[in-house]
Amino acid sequence: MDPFSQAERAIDGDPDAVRALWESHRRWVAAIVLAHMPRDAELEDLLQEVAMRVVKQIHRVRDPAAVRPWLRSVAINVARTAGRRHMVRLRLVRTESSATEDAAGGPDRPALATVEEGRRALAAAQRLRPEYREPLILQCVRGMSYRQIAEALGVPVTTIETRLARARRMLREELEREGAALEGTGA
Amino acid sequence: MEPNREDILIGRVTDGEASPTDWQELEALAATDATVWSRLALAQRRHAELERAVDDALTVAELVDAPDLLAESASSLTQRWRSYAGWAAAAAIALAWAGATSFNFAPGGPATQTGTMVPLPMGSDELINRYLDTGKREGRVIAELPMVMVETRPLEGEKGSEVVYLRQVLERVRVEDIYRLGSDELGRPTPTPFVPETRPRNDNNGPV
Repeated sequence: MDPFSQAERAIDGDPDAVRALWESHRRWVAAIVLAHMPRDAELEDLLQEVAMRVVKQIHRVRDPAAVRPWLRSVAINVARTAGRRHMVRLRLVRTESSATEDAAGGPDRPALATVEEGRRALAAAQRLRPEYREPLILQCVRGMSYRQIAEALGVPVTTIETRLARARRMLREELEREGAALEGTGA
Repeated sequence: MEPNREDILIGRVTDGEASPTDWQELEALAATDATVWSRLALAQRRHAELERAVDDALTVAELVDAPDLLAESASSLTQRWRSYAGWAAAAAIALAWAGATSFNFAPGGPATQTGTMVPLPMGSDELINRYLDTGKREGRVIAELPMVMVETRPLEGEKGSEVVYLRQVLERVRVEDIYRLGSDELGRPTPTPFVPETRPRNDNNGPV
């Protein structure tokens, strides 16, 4: 079944089409959640919530061609809600134990030397501004072309290319700074 | 920090989006500056590392299936139908009882009751008019639609005709959810949630 008919049937409430649509999009939707969620959140939990919202709300989509941007907005909403919950928890934790953490130099100083290169790169990518980290992480989802990323993000392909090039440069500089800092501390 | 042409070309090659023209352009750049190749190699290595990390992180996506709300809805619909059927049966019995008792009462009041249920001489016209009046008062019956003629034939040996017709009553009920009946892959009837559009009532076909 072609993606348009699949989306059309899913919007009409066909349970098989909803399932198939979710299965064909869930990987890149997970990448969107990954790009926007707080770093210590559980991707699987958030993705469960996205799946639930998709099943419950897909009938609200008016245009089958707009399914990708709609899925992205659902994923971002779930990730941002988790981010707000995370900030509240963080404030509570800081209030309770600020004195000891201040003395130790911060609550969670990452042990960068023990993290593999890829994970270090992903963590650095997640620190980029949303308009850069989102296409960068989406580009790492197998099978996603510039055109599909542009469609999901609702921007032209040329914008995607430019953002990717900038994101990579920023990531390279960030990793070089981190590397220099590690060398400086002898880690 | 505007990306230059080299950044764009390296990006396209790394992402598998480069056209033959892009390759030619990159080769032309490398012909004047051979370090372009090492920057390409570094970009590809970094991309592969990041891609692996993202791929690992996204493995959980395969574990997350669409929740089976639809099956839950179907089961709750079945329950609702069962309870509705039960309610309907109860209502029918109650109506029969009410009809029976109200017609069994003599003007003198309960003292004259015999205590037994007696079939009452209530005609079908009277019953249906009673249903229409009560339904209109309760807001359930909106109107009776024009009758539809199905068949007519002259009576044998008598004056007049026999007419078979269809009577239709427009009713209104309030429900929590609306379901559309489709079928699953095995051809079994499957209800699916349906959100209707608001449609104005067409009052041109008013009551008889």
